[in-house]
Amino acid sequence: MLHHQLTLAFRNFMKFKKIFAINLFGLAIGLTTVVLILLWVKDELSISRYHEKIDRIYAVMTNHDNSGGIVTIGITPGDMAEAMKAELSQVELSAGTSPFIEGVTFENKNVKMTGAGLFVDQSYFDIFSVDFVEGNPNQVMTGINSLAISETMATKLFGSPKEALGKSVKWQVFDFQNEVEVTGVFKDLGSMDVDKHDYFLSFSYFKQMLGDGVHWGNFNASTYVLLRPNTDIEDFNEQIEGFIKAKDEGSNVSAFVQAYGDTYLYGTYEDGKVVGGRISYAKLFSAIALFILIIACINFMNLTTARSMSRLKEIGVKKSMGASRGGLFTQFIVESMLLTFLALVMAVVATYILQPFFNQVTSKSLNLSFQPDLILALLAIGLVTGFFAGVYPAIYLSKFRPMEVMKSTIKGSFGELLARKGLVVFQFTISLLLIIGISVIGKQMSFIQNQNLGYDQSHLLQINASGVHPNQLDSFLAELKNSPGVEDASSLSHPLVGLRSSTIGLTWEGKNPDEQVKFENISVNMGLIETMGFELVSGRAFSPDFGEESSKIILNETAVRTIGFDEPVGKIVNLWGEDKEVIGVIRDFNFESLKENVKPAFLKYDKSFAEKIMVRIGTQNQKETIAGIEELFVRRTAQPMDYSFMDEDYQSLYASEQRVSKLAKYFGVMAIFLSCLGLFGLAAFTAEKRKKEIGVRKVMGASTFGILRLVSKDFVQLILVSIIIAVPLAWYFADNWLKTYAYQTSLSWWIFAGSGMVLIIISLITVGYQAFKAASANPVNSLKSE
Amino acid sequence: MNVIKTVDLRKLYATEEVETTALDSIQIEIKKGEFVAIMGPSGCGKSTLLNILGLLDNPDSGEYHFLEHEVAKFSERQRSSLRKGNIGFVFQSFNLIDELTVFENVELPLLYLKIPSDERKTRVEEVLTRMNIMHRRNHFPQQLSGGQQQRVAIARAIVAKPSVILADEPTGNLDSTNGEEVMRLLEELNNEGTTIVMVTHSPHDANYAHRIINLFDGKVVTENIREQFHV
Repeated sequence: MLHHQLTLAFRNFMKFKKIFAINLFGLAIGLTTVVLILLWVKDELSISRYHEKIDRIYAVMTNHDNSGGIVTIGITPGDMAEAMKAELSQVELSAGTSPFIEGVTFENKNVKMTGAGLFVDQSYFDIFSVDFVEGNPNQVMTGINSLAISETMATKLFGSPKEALGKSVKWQVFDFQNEVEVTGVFKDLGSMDVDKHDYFLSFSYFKQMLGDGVHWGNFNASTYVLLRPNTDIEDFNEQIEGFIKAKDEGSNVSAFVQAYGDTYLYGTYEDGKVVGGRISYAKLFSAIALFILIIACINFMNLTTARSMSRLKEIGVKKSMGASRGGLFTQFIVESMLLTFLALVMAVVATYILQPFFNQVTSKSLNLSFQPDLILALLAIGLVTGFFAGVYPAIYLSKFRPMEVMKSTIKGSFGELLARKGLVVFQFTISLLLIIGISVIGKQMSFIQNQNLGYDQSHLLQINASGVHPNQLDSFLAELKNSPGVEDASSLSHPLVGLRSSTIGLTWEGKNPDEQVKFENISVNMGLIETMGFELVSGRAFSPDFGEESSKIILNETAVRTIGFDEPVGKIVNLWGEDKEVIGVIRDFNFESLKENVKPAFLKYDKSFAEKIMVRIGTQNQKETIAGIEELFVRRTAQPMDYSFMDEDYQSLYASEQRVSKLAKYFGVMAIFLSCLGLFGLAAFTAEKRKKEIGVRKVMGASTFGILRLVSKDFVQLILVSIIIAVPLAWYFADNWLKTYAYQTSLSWWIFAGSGMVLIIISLITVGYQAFKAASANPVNSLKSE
Repeated sequence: MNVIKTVDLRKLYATEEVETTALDSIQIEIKKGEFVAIMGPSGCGKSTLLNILGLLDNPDSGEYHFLEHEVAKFSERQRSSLRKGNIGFVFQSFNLIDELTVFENVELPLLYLKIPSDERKTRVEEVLTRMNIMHRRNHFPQQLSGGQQQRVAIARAIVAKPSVILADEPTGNLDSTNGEEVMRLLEELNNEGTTIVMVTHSPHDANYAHRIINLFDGKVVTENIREQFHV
């Protein structure tokens, strides 16, 4: 019987090639989208979760209750790990680490390279799964001068991991440096980690670096704990809430733990609670995948039921021979399964071809490898899709009574017509939602790009200063300024993009002592304000002409407003116990994503912290200029120059938005294409069904245009209904999304009107082709065929 | 033994505006091995009657005994299972499935009877040979002439060895030569013991039957017995 069903299905496919092609390609496109998104979501969900003890690993988070609200960060006091292990019975192991530190220079004789990583102690490796290829995993970080490096780094510095073990290496970051011994070489951490680690240095040494900075009021380390099995997390969180306050009276910081595996996907906090994060993208794209698949399935349902007339004889004959409804139902399900699995094979091939492109768009290294779980997932998707697409047509077709079908007295029922129309409306509502969504995201992105950030981002180069020795910084800058094409250059403590360093240590006369106000703290060199193009609202910039400048400070406008100075220049504030004179005010500039309002910030003169060198270059011969700077950098530091353009760095703040916007664009186009494909098939069918009517009308004198209108009218009505449903929904979603930005574009009416028009035009073209074909046919032919 | 017996069979067709009586108090008895023709003008209820006799439709009232079963109130599922193997259909428009070959079309009833593949092959070949269409076994219906198509349809109707063959205008779409051939085939099958009920417009075809039932406006008006028939 199965053989019979498969044969019949195959011959039917071949007989109705056009419908078969629309169904097959439609499902294949839908399934390709699903497979791509499945890979992406699977990857997202597995990031940071590969550790063997992941179920028991928790990150310690801290809530800082400042005047501006609660800020949640994954940074703790340096002694947090030790204290938690000693005082809390639920903690089996704990590990303190430095924050992720980039730009550390490693040197073996003449070979130099920079790397990123963590300072950790031995317990870190007892908690997290790190694969060592050289060295004793249980004793890697026992000494203060231990170093574990990645295979890549070991190969670069020593030629091979084996060679590296036991060798000594010099490292340097800011003005800290040390000579250490390689005690372990670990397998490169793959894409399953948020940060790519090149090295692990000793956390004990990190604490030495911090010196007096290690106390319960200072937050400069990360803490991870391995909890005992069956620990009640709610109880535990209740217990540690006041942990820091108990050590540091008057502290405004409370602690809690978050499952380490969740930190990547649930990294957004409001009022000290987890409110989501990247998981929303995973959910959004899963929904889009589902919708696109539904659209493809709807095409299948509509086209299959619409052309059921051609199957009626077969159904009738089989029923008269005693075929049961169940048997026919199975036959149609088998047909839809067969089609779906053909489409699935095409989808897998298409995914394989599209993979590199998709990886580029998503910045991932996804790989379609046929592991059992993926194969199972694909099979499940195929089965569910095949069944979902086939169930309605199967019920519909198998219910015909043999007598009716043989006499061809079947008339489409009202309910059936409604169902088909409802499905079309559903498809186009989703398509329109996507079109509007894409337009709004696009408008907001261009709004952001054209927003005045308070300084000139263009032609501004940001160089990693880690290789430049602090003693040589000024002479280096002087030489840099004299290079051809360089207009200005200076240095500062940390990248301006993103929030890196803040303090509550700024006070002034009249400040409420109970209130904690956070200021962004930027240490700059002479000439930075000029290099960046910050606009001075009043006062002056730092300058060597005024002698000693380290007791001076410059505020941004928001800081002035926060403090409440009327005439800020000349006023005195106190930073960490030292009085500083305000010498100038600069216009607010955005150093964070435009999702955030500008925060209070101050600039102080301190060139000893120089992580970045900023260089303003001319518009002419930029390639040569950069080559010149690079040559100078390599000559002075003996290491490669690591640089980026400021405007690109700033754009990277919106990397996920841009990625989402790009992906949404592709998927939106796909949804519209699929909907139109279905519409095309349905219009062809309608034109075919009304062939006789059209013929009669033409004989009676109807014009081609009149017929065109007749056939298109029904479809345009459906599109209009979709627009009426989609617009308010889209407005609601778009408005909510825009609210996540402090600076937002307006929701203009023309986005909605334009998207609706685009949809109408696309569908008119789709339907119009079929309608025109029907309208311009010779009526004699259609009447004869009856 | 009666293969078919109806008592006061009625069938109505109702639309929103009008109600039409398609069959009215039909009483017929058809014995095993009989060849009966049903005649009458268009719209007199011939096809409706044939559909009910063929278990494709239910009457609105009255009794219908088929092979000793009272089937008037049978559900679709019950009718379908009784139909299987007991009734063979021959239609005016052949109703062969275009996507299946001659062999596959004829094989279809055996598939529903779950007959093993080897036996199916033997039986289909046997009946195709008998219908003199074996050489066309791998052709599709569109590739055959009308006469050939109807021979395939008859082959399909008899392959399951049904007790009754219901034929609805079996020669309606054929020229006289092919029509004659089809009628001779039906006669031959009848001679071998198969009960045949045939709806026809053609007095010539009706002459092959033992008995002619004339319908008019949904009622049996006359029954002519052409020759004596013995069980």
